[in-house]
Amino acid sequence: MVGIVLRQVSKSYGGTRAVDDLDLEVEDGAFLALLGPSGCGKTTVLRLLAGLERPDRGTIALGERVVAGEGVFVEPEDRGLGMVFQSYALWPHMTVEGNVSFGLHGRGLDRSEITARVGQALDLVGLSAKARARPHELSGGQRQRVALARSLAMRPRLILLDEPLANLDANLRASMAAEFRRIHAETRTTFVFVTHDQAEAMALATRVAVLDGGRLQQVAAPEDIWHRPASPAVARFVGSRRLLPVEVLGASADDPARLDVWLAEGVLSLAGSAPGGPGWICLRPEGLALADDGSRSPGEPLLGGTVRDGHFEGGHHLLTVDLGRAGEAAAVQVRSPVPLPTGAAVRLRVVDGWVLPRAS
Amino acid sequence: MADVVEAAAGRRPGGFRLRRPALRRDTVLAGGLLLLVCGASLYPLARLIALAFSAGEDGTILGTLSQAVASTAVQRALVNSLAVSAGATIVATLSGAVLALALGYGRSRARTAATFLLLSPLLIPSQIIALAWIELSGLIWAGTGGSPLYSGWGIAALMGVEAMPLVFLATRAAMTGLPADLVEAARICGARRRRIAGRIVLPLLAPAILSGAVLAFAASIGNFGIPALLGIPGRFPVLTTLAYQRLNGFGPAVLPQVAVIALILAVLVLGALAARALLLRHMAVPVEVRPGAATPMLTSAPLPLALGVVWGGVTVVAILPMLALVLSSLAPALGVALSWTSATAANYEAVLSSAAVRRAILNSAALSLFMALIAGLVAVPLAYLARLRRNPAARLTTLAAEVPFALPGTVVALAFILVFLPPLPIVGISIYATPAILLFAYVVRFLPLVLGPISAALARLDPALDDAGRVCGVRLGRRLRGIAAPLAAPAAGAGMVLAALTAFNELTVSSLLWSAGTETVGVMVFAFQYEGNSGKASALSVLSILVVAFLAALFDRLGRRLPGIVPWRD
Repeated sequence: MVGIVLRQVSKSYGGTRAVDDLDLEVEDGAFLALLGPSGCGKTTVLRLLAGLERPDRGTIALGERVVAGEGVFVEPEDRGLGMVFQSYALWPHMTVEGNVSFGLHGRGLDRSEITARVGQALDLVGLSAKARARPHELSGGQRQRVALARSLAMRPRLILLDEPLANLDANLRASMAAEFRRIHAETRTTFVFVTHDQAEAMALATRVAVLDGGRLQQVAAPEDIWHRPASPAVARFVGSRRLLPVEVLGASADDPARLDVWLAEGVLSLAGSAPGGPGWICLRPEGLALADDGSRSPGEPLLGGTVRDGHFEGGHHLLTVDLGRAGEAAAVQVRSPVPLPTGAAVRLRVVDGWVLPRAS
Repeated sequence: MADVVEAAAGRRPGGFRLRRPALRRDTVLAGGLLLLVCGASLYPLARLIALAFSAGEDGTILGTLSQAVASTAVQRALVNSLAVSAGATIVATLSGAVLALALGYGRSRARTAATFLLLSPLLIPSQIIALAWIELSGLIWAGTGGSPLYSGWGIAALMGVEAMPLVFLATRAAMTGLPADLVEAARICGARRRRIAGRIVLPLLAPAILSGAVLAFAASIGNFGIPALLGIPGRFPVLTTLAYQRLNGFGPAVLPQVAVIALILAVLVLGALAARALLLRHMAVPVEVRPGAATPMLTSAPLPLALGVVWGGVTVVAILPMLALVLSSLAPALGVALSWTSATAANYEAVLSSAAVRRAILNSAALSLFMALIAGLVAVPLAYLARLRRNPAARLTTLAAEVPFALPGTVVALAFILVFLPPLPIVGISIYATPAILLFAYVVRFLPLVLGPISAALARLDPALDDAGRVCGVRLGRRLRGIAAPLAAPAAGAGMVLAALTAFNELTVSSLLWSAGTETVGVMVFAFQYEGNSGKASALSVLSILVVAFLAALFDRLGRRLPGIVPWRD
């Protein structure tokens, strides 16, 4: 069953492409995160799905219905979906009940049905006791629940959420994340949410779509995004990896699933997906270790550099090491059990990394 | 899924048809409002301008224009208008800036009351201000013969008093925007009070003061009440009174000549407003304003000098003239000295028993009420579309709606005579000389007073409030009624009261559009004074000031919770 289909969707604002030729399919019942740095076009995608923006090009279908395409545009009023705005957008002059029921009036439902639906939606978000309260009397988390209940009461097949955890403090964030997962499981509605926070995306979503510069970089399960980034942009954004240019030699002799790469006068065998030729290795701080002078196995490449900066991070010191190379990764980060002074010479061993092709 | 996408590309399987709505409802509404506002305000003005540029009676190109401009009466009125407006601008700028500075530096408890009284010339119509000062000058120069007010000097001084609040408000707005740390930084640097005022505060306020001065000039050019009461008997014609006298004396036949006067008025006012926009763009330095930052205060204790200036200003601007007006309304007859024993309510009795006055009060009340209601009905959807929906046509309409308020009332009234004197097409009747033309003109002229607060209130709202309704499937009409209208209601109420208050005493437009049976309060005050019956004029003025005071209190109550709506509140 198909939930959402976007085909070659583009949208520009005054010359800048916010969304560039986007293809995306989302299964019915998925919990999809649109992840990316600010300005990557993720909010535009959400507003395109809602019908609050018109695509310049391309087709959008929700379920069996094309809602935007050549000569077709369905207004948001007629799309029958729910949306939780970042500001919650609760109508300040209405009670909680009034907010939730406002969209239900005027669509031919009888009064008892409306009351039942409002009660059910408020039950689901755990706010039945606050039905008569006004938005300004509620806490941030409660307001968000009202906004969610307002969407749920419409019984949509799709609910869009704009940065749902951004306005909440740290404690509330964890409990609201659990609430979203529970409600998603109970209602089996498709949820699409936008976030710039990778931890939030990983914690909530069953699928993550990473956007950068208006283009889709990768759609996959959270684990895959984390362990197997498909493009340099994803690698840089997720897990804050640093990229080093290498030469990919081909599949490893002893493990065909791994790739041999040439780095710093030595050969490394790493996981990844790239043809032979120029490539990147993507390094997280955990994938590097300080090499003690004695323990070098023959042929293992070591990266030499000088400590630029270091600070204690609880449990270990995080060092920024200047590799003295031209190009992208002038510096990498590595954990150290002991503090090292700025300017100290160190050598780093690559423990783990991910290989990607590099356009030469 | 593939078939879904194919369906979008036009290959629709299974007779699955997609319907595109012909026109979106908000587009239709915005287009309708644009047509309505342009048709009602810009079209008559365009006709008037076209008439001013029309060929002369003998067929010469631009004959009307050249004939009118060659007339010595028009030239004299133009020179007089420019001279008294320049004088008024000087008076308004000096007094407005000094009073705003004094009020800003000397904090006093009765700050709101003092501000309200200093702003009272904005609420009290100019013919009543003129009348009050005539009575005041009668008390001061009793027995010396002609009062010096009936001259260009007098007109300039009174128009200066009337325009003072414009400079005062502009200066005060700039002062509240100035962060206190700019002054504090100068004090840390060791600068003395005089140096801080001269080198830091005044330069930062200068653009605001100058822009207020330009507004004062534009308001003075379009002023009718003061030159009508002082200049007509004093034989000192200005452009607005010349247009009135010509039309009154010769009837609609002189419309082409009067249209040229209107054109000159419009050019002067619009030129001044354009100069103000340029001035603000090139002179204003961006000042970083943080909410909650206090106004720069040289001292926190009330300065006796500043307080003296403020209350001296209040006395001269509001208390003395109003007192003179009340005294005159209680005087038994012209020339009879007023004392505790001779005071009489005869003027009030005479005024209230007059059928014409009763009719005028009823007319003014009904016109104000219906004008406010119609303006509210137009303004709420317009502001909703322009501010929450960001509809370009609606935003254009809000700009077009400002024009009739920015231009002198005389110009608007003349444009309405021109368009509505002939019978309307289709229905075949003329609304000229009916209350309809007054109502229509009032709506067009005072719509910005209602639109302004509503626009400001809706612009502060998160557009997501409306988007949330759209996503919930709520149609335009219900969103307007259920979301926009309740949220705009306090501002709409305040704006409607302000417009009703202004319209109740309106004179400039009414004096040209009234006819027997459709007298208004403003016209009656003017008529009484014109007949030399100053006692009755004063009595009716006092009554109408009471109405204004009541409406101002209502406006204050409705608008006090809204930021920046009630000008006399901080």
